[in-house]
Amino acid sequence: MTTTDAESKKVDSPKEDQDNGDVNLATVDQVRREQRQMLFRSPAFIIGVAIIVFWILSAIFPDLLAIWGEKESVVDASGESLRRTSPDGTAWLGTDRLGRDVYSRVIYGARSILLQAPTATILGAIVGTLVGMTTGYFRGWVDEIASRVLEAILSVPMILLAIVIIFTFGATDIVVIGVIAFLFVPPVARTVRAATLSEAQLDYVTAAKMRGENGLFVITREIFPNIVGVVIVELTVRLGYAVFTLATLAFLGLTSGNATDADWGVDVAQNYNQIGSGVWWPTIFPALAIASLVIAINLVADSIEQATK
Amino acid sequence: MGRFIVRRLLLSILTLAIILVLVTLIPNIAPGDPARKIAGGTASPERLQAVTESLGLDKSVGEQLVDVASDTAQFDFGMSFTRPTETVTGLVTTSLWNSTKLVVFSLFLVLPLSIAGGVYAAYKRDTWIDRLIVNVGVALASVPEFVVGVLFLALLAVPISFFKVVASPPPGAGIFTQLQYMLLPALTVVTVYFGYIARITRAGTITALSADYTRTAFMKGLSTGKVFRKHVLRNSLLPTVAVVGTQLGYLFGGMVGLELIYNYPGLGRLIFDAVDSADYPTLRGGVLSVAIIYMLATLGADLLIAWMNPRARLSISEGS
Amino acid sequence: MKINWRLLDKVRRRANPIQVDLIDAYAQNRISRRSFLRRGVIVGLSAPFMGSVLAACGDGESEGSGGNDTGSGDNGTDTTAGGSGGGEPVAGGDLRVGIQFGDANSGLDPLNMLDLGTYNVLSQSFEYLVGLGTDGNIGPRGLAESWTPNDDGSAWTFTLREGVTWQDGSPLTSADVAATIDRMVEVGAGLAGVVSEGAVETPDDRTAVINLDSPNGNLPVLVSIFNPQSLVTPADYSNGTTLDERPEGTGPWLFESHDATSFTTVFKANENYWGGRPNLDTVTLIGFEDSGTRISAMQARELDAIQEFGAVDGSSLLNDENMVILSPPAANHRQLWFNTQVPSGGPFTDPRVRQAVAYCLDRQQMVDTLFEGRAIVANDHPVHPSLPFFDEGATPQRERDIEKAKQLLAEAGQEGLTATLETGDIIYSADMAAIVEQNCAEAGMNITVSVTANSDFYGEYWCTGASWGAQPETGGPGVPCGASAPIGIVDYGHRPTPDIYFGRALQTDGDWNSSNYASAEFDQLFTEYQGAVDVDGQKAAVGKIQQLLHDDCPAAYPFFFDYLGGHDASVSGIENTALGHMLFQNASKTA
Repeated sequence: MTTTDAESKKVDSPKEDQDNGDVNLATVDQVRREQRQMLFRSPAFIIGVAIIVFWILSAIFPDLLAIWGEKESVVDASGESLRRTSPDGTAWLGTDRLGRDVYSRVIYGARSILLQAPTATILGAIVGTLVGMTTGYFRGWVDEIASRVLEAILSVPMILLAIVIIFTFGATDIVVIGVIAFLFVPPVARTVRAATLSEAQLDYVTAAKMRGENGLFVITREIFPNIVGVVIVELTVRLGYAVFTLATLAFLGLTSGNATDADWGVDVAQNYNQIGSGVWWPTIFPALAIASLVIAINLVADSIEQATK
Repeated sequence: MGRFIVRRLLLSILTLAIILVLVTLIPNIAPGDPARKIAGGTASPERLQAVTESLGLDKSVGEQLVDVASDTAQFDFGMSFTRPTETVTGLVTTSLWNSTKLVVFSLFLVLPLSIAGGVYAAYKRDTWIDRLIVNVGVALASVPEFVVGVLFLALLAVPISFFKVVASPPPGAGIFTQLQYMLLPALTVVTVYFGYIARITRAGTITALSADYTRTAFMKGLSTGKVFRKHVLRNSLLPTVAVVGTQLGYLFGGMVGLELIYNYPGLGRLIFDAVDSADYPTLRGGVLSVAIIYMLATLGADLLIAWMNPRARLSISEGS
Repeated sequence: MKINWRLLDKVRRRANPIQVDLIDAYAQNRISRRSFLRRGVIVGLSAPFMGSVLAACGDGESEGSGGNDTGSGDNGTDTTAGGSGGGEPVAGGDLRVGIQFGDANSGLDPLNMLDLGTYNVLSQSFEYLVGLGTDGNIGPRGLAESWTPNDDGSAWTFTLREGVTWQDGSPLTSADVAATIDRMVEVGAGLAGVVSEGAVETPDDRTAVINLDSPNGNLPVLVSIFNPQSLVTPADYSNGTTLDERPEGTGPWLFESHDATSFTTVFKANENYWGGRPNLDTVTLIGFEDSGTRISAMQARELDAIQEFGAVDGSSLLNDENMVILSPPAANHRQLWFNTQVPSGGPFTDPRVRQAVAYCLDRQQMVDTLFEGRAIVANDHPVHPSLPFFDEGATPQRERDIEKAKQLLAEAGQEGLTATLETGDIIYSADMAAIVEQNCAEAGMNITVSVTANSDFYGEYWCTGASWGAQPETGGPGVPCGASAPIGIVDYGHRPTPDIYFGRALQTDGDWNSSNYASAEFDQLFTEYQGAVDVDGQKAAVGKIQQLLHDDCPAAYPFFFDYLGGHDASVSGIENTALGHMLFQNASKTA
């Protein structure tokens, strides 16, 4: 799912007090502070952050939160192993077909997605922002060619390209993260380019150019601070997509690492066949975990967007 | 306007060419020997050689690109490697048609629902209705489509015979039977896309509602209904049209998980299977068709926007 | 047994030496009645003949289907609670069957196919020389009416059925059989080393004499339904032709259409089938990439029958009153292979390490977890205990012993070894790998599991194949299987005799030998087994093989599991094999 012109148009609205010098700075600081306060008070932000923090803790300290081992077979009080048992005292969220504790696996499963998704997103965002600002500011034939290539990548659904690339190069950590980062560059670049385009027309940029500043300076010192908001919003939106795509890839069997490690998408894929026989818990809870993370990221993204308006 | 279309088409062709190049490069960069994958582990050296030749891998990359370019220009997409009796064109056309049916049906269901939802949410902005629509939409859109698909399968398809597990109808079925079979995958798409489209529509409607021309219309004394119909809707839907245009490509090729779960022979699955069995001609054909759909859809969306909004029409004729 | 010697003598005189040996073994109580019947079919004894033997030995019960010594009864119509729904069979009707999605790389090629889905499709139009009998055994229901070995088992004579025609009306002749076997030998197909090209004589149109390179007591199995690639094709067929390119066959179903993207094939009834026109009008075989969807479709009765399903995922079917479960006796298993010849440094080249892994395996856990008990524990060799020559006394069942495993690892200097276990994503394999990982972790081994899509797995991690695959640097036997992962899991479907399991998978230079096992002793024993046409000889050889494999451990065999297929209770007359075949010529729907 790509960002739209509608969202980039929001950046078009010119900021009111751009022309003044020093007074400008003080106002900007004040504005930032107010934005931050608004942010910290919005319920969406709080809930979103809370969920994300919970998953981060699960990723870093799974042993604290999990009850059973990641691949351990659950045994009840009498030492008998439980398999496909519904949620109860011994296993809060039930056990799966191999007798592993669903709750513990959900906790352990946070690690892989929280390692890969942010890494890929940040990587993609950095490259995408660079590309977007460069093409948006300098224009010319570099811009034309780059836009064509970016559009070529955009015109094929991300999941398909990811499948093709991962199949070709094998499913390793580097490839999986790299693919998603690579596929994020076009949408990020497009949004940043649009933002840069409109910023570049504004007076302060013309002023800088007349002062004789070179392009790099203008981009990094003048334009970038003003589009940071856009970049951050893009970042958070992309993060949600990264989680989504990683889960789908896992579902399709394209994950890296040990196939038996806990992973939400993989667990859904391996267990959903049993829903028909009434064993819903090994599928639903990892699925809810995915959903909760995506929702949380969306909440945070939305509240940041609201605050920076 | 005409110049705009022509220019877009030319640019699209350029983009497609880039895609073709990338896809052709893949078997050359892939580690291992794709020819051996296709020929199978027990194949004789002669058969292996034959497969390598038919893959074009015995030629240099430059030669391969030239071959692909000339073949494509003549609309000759060759035969599938793994199913040597099928032409790529045939396979892609069948899958494309299946996907089209599903996409049209899904849009038919989701568009009225989500547009109505989005407009209403904007109209009742900041009330509980607004929050409900938005939050439900966000929640639903956050659940991966394969999860929704699996849930529908288990909760609806298995116990209720009206809902079909396998989404492909028996051959020769009438249109209503076909719709019945496609119902669950279509509903899955609706569930996943409702939130997104509703939100975009809501944003567009809010912008339109606060625009000058709307206020003027209200001040002129027009009824709410009339204002909406004459002024608001055609402007609020602009971003929606843009979004649907961009998403159309995704709908055609990106629903791989769904197609696997429901055993639906659509374009996504064709491409997935082609990658799986290293069937590069089919892969090329499939990816190309998805890209073409994207180009046409975005072009169509832009034209539609131009028709709906005179201001956009202006910027289009000045060149994008 | 109270033996009527006069009768028995009369019977013996009508038999050839190999058959006599079998009769004597039974009469002297050296083998069970069931074993006699099973082996009897293989060596070409007819049902009435065997009945006479039984009668002469005072075993008055009716001839035919094997008793219930071990495992389920006859050919798999093992009904569950509900049984077949009452109702009269109606004429005609269309059947919809869910099958495994065929491997796109092979296509509908009778010689080069490798997967159960394609086996099923092709065996509707083509037929086998030796058909399906009862009890998971072969029987005279194929294209051969009868067969008999010569005195030492080096030549087998097959008498073809009369009235069999190809789809264009021309009759089936022994020339077709000869051509088929030549084509099989060309690519291997289980006959490599057993038959040479041009070794089939055709004295007349109805007789085919297969001359073997050396005596072999189990040849009929190698040209039966249990060697799926042995489908009989016309003399002018060529290697690589697929069914959809050239629809042909002697079987009960005529190929109508095949859609490659959905792997759906439609067959219609063959009016001129030698066994009589089938009851049903059409059969549609629908391929499912996802086994779970296949199960759901069956549950929702969008299918009438289902080829195979897993015990755990399909538990809803197992508990369904209106499902008839077909579970033919099966030696299906998953082989946990160890590459014994990986370039120096590979941990599994040391037999102690291999044994250590074998001692770690919790076989009962696998039986319970993967199959819900529908499996039996196996002892690291592929000889199913129900076979007549299975030697119970050869070696005791290996039990789980973590201490011993640790000790062995210490001796070999491999404590805390790490390895990546490669497996395909076929049913059971990935879960089995998870259990192996856990089991081995208790002895300090770090096993990482890597799952690959099945269509990529063969040829990538398992048997990379002949001269173009990566060869182990030792230059040791790799041809023609090529290299394989150091440790992995591969699937084996049912065979009524372990010839394929020995010959292709464990013999030096076997084309399925992922263990790169090169044991002269094993090869020698295998030759002895093949050449042993008498019961004692076979048992002796097999006993030694069991022991050798158990100790040397080129692969671990933790279990044999039940193959599960089924159909709705309103259908009757379907037979299946544990190799994916489903026979519909006698099937019908009830009202």
